[in-house]
Amino acid sequence: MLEPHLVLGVAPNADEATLRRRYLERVRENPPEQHPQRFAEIRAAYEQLRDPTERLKRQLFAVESSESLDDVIAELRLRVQGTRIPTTILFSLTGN
Amino acid sequence: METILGIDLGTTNSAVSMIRDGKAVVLEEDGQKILPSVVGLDGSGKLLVGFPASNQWTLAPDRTIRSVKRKMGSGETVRLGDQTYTPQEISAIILRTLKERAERLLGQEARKAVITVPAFFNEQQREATREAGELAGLEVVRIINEPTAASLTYNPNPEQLQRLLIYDLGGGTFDVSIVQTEQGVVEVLSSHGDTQLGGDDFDHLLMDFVCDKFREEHKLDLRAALTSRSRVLKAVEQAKCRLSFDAFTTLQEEFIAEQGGVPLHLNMELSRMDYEPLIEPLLNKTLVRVDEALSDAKLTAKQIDRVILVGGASRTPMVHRLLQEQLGQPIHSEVDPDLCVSMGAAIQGGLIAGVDLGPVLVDITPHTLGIQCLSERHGFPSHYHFAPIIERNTALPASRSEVFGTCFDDQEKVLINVFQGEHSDVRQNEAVGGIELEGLANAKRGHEILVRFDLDLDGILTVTATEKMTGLEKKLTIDNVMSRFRSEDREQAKQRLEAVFSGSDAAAAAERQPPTPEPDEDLSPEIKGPIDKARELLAQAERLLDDANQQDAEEMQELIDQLREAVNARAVDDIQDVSAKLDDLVFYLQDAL
Amino acid sequence: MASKSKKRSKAGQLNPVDQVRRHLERGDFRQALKGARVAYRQDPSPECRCFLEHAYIGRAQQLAHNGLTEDCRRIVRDLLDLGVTEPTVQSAMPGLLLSVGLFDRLAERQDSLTDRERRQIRLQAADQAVTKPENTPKSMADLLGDARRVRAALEAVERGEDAAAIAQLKEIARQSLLADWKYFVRGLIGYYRHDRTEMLANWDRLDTDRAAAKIAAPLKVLAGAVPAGEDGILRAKVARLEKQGTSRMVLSEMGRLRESVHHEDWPQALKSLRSLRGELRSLDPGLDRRLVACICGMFMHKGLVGQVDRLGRIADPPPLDPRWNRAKAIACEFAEDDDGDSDPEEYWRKYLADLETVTVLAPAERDLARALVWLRLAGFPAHEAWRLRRCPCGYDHGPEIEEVEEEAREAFERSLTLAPGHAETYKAMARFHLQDGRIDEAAGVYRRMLRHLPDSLDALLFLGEQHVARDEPHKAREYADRAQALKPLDQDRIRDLAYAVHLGMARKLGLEGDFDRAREELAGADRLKPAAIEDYRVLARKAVLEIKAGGGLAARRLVEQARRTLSEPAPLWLAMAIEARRYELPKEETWLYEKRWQEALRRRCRSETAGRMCRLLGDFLAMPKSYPERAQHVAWLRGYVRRCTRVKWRADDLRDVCELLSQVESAGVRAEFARQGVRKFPQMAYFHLLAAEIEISRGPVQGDWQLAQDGLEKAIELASKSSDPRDKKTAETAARLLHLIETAPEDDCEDDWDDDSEDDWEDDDDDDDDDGDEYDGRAFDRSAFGDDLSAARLIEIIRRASARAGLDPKVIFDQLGIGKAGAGRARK
Repeated sequence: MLEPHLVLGVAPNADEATLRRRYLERVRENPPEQHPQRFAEIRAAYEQLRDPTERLKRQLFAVESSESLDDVIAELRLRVQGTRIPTTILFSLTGN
Repeated sequence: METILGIDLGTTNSAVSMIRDGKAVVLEEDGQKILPSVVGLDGSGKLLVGFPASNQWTLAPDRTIRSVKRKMGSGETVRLGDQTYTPQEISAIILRTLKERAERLLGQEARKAVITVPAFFNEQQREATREAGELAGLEVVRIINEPTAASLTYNPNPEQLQRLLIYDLGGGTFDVSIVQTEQGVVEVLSSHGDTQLGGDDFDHLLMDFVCDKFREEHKLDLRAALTSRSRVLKAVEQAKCRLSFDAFTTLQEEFIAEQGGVPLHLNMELSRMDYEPLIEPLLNKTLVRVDEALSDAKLTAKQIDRVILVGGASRTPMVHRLLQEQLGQPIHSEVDPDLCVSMGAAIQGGLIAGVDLGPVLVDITPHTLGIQCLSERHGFPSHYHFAPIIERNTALPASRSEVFGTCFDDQEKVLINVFQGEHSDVRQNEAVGGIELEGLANAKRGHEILVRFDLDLDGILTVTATEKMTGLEKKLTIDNVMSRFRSEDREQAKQRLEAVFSGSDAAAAAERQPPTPEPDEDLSPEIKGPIDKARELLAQAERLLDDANQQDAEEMQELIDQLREAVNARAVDDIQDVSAKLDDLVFYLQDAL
Repeated sequence: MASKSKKRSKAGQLNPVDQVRRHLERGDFRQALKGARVAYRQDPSPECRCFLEHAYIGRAQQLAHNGLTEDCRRIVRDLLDLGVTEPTVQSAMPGLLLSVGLFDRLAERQDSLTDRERRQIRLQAADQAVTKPENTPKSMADLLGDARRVRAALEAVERGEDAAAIAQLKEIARQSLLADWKYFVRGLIGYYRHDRTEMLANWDRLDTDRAAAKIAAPLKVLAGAVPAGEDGILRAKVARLEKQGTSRMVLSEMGRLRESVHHEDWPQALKSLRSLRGELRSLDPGLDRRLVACICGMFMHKGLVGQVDRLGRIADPPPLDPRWNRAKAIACEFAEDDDGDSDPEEYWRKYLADLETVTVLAPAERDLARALVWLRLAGFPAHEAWRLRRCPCGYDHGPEIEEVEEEAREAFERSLTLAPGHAETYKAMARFHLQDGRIDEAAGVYRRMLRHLPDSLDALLFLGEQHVARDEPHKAREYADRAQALKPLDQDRIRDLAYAVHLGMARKLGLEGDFDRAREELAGADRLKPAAIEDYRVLARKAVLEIKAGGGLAARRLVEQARRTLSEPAPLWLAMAIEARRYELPKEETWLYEKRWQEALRRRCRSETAGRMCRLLGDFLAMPKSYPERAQHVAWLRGYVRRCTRVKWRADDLRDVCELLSQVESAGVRAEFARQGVRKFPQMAYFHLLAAEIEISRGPVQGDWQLAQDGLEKAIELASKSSDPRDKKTAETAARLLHLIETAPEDDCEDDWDDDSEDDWEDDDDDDDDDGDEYDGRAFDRSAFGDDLSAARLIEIIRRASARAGLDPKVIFDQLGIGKAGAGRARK
């Protein structure tokens, strides 16, 4: 999962108006009807960011990080999986 | 592009709209835009829908059904003539009439529809509505909330952020939603409502008032006999509407009853002063809901830019007055409160079909969804605790998960019961389904189980329970668990409906201009399934044929021919056999990119 | 071969044949071949020949696999010269010949092959045409066209040009021997795109004996689609791929990290983390940060301050917490043991200093962040003050309390200076004052709040209610109006306030002689009247106002009207008497109604009348300033109620009577009523609670606490099923009491003694001997309660138990009917 401000494409300390404008833009580009998954991500990111006081409170006092070790592992797996493997290496796997 | 109808299936009136030239238009027939939601049988057993049914109601209340929407999802049945019907079936008759109206005007078959429901309808009531649509031969592509639909008919691109309060008081249900529109995005912030409060209740209060007065004078209760009761009800209904414009009105019904051989007439003057105190308690209830909706949206009354009235009963002047007084706002009713819901549904249909109509809609779930679990209540362990997972007013689609733990060491299974509601005790909430996750690993109590809820735009909930340590997983999709029928029952219901329809005016009209021919007459379900699938497959294969290399094309053509033959011969085994082969080839040739 | 194991030399030394077998088993084909050659030369038995053939083929395959084609060819030629007799070796031959390009030798053998073998050879040749096209025999050159397309597609995928790859595959017909590779390439694209369905749909169609399936297998493991299992070769391949992607085996290392975390082996976890970090950082710095945050969160949640410290030594600090003080502070808050070095306040203070330098926050955000930390810091002394004020140890904590309260005040002020618009701070500060009844100071806080946040409903309601309580309705009105404008719709608390303001204003205006406006106020109150208020009370109030205004006739008419709503006039006379007092009617008038009331009280007791009067007077008891003669009225009503022991009660009436009595007496007839209530209305939670309360108040020796416990459990059960809104409170009170009696006997104030050691306490005891009447901690410690448990002692027990349970003892006192705090309606 990307950090919320990256999902929306705003600076980490963007003000409320920018955030709102950008959120609306992103929703117009990804309406829930056409891109439910992407919309859900955008919405979740916006909800995390929209109230600056709440956001700060969470940053300061939140105990557990928003994701678990498993989430990081899953992400890592995706990264590893995303790297394109040279064909010669693939061929080297044909043996026993 | 295929037309998706927008249908407002109301308690009192229904309407159908569609998108034409980028605009929503209400379809009218014989100069009528609305269709009273009334179904009846005439003296000869012929089906009547809409105005004819509505007109005969006072004469033959036993052969006429009104306000069936209030029973949707309740499991109750209604009597019509000598048969009983489910509320879904009666609703399906209304929907089918609307569908046929659309087809006559459109000149082609209309198969898909968006149907509206009160925002506060629960899962069962929504499911019943969906079923009604299916029985009517419609593919219900979406169920949407009425106030949301209404909001879509407003300008989605205001100069600056605009917050609307939509007060929807219909015949049988009340909803209030707070909607925010800005830069082409329509966001629903909160919804509240009461599915058992509406104009019908006003009629009954007024009827009781009139009948009580009549009884004082004549020592006779007009409610005792079905015919006199329905005449009074119809009369007060009309009087109620007149009172929306005039301060006084007169009720006149001749020969309404007989006493000792003397005919009695009803002749009574009614004033707004009589009427308004009767309905005030009900309207006060709606104001409480309005306040709750504001609280949920974290707004105060002065932050609302516009108040919009929807639903026939919102025409009552007292509604305007009360809202205006309480909210300190002028009240808007420029859009016809009876029609804007179906227009909004058509717009939603357009959005689903991918037509660019301006607004992008972000809707919410008005109810909280969660599971039953063991927790401390009042300092006591109670296993009736309701643990919310998706809170009400969450934007759709929504995915949320919570971690729960087992209660004992070496617990073998967990039962996950899903509920909908706002109470912390599950027994006060609505049960919607459940799953059992069995075969857990041996572990100490507190062994973690992850419960994930995915609620999609259709309000379909998928529940996934995962044992965190092993990844053991079980899924449940709650969309038809609450369905009142099994599929065979549904078939039967469809046939019954067909029987009722044949011989009716509507069906006769439909025959004049038949929709696209349906060659498949009466196939048994065992054979119909494979054939339908085979047809789909054939269509797919043919699309791929042009692009395939020669060798594959030849092979495919051969399989296509074989399959056609098998289908024509109704040879089930062959159909399945060749289908499998063709399916393989189709997969091979179909590129995901 | 197992039977041959008996051929073994003595003294553990293996004979040459066994040695060969050992080598073969271990996969050391080079040594095996060497030994087998020697052994065969010495003893050309069939057995030795078999070993030799196996050694040859094994070695040849090994060489072929390692790409040493020339060496392999040599071995294969030697083997062919020897001649192949073993069936398993025979069947392996064609593939081997093909892979090293000895097509002539292969052709020689063609005739001896079965159809199946021929097909296998063709399939292998097809795969080889992709992986090693140069080894394709001329006889199978037809394969090369499609093989070239597959290669091109694979290369396109490698470059990330998936669409081009798909286009390349278009011409490969499904009948082609290379169709398998089309599935492979499409699955590979699915793999890279994390499209698991697409990947598996294609790869599940692969021929498991062919090359593509062998490549796909480790990739599937890597994608987490299947477990690696125990297959050593597969695991080795996965590892190879993992290194390919990340140069080190991060996934496996992560797996180990997860294992250590699962077993709470923190040193090992930190070790894994340290070895992972560099790799992660080079992959994506974000991943490193997230992993550290994950681990740190775990430490915080488990209260492991020391581990946070250790983590800090190997990891970069989060941008918001440059010196890990925030993490340590939170860990301290979660730490269970109160040892010396887990003082969250200290770390929070350090963190305040850190915040000055944090650059990721904008200046305004930085101020808000510091305000939030100050607010957090205020909570500690505020709680300490609360605790000290309730400490039962008997010392004078005054100076300490003053100190911590000052500390709390300062922290609140600091927070407000930095962020004057943060509503939570005001609310927390008001709570801090209210916890010890400093209502005026709380009101001051709310007034400040309104200056910065004029739309704070909480503040408006609090101040409005306070003014009503002080009988200043004109001042309350402003707040009530503002609250009303803010939330104009039906809301109980706002409505109640507006109602109270109307009544207060009516009385005030009535006393001032402005009767017209007073009447208007009463009419205004009518519109907001809660349903529970009965009409006779409204009419009585109006009648009194009319008397005050000199309108005897109007008053009489109202009184008449009120009488008609009642079966017995007693409640009306009481209402008239109360309002007469409140509206300061002439004494004769007041006495008249009091006399009428007293006369009415002499009649036989009735449930309905008793319930009504108790409800009425109960409402005035809840007001701090209602009227001076209230006590007298209460006494008279108690007299009446005491006679009511043989009345045919209605449940609600009895409950109202008991609720009133609970406010004014601790024992007496209430116990009798409680008994009756439980007997007659066993379904009502309230009576079970009441009976239990009375039992508890008799103390643990005289009272039957077991019975009380049963009663409380019953009360909770019934209350949770009840639809009566009052029963929510019943359930809560019962739950608290239950908690209290379950914890009370073990309670020994250890916490309090820990601060000053036991010896100190004894010294103190010697020093001044004046706490005889006060709580005697030691007696309580050891012998539980004495026989004569005084009310004061009981209060102490409850105070301590509730403090430990984190409850407001006032709530319990209220319900117990002892130590009745002068409750105001404003209390939340």
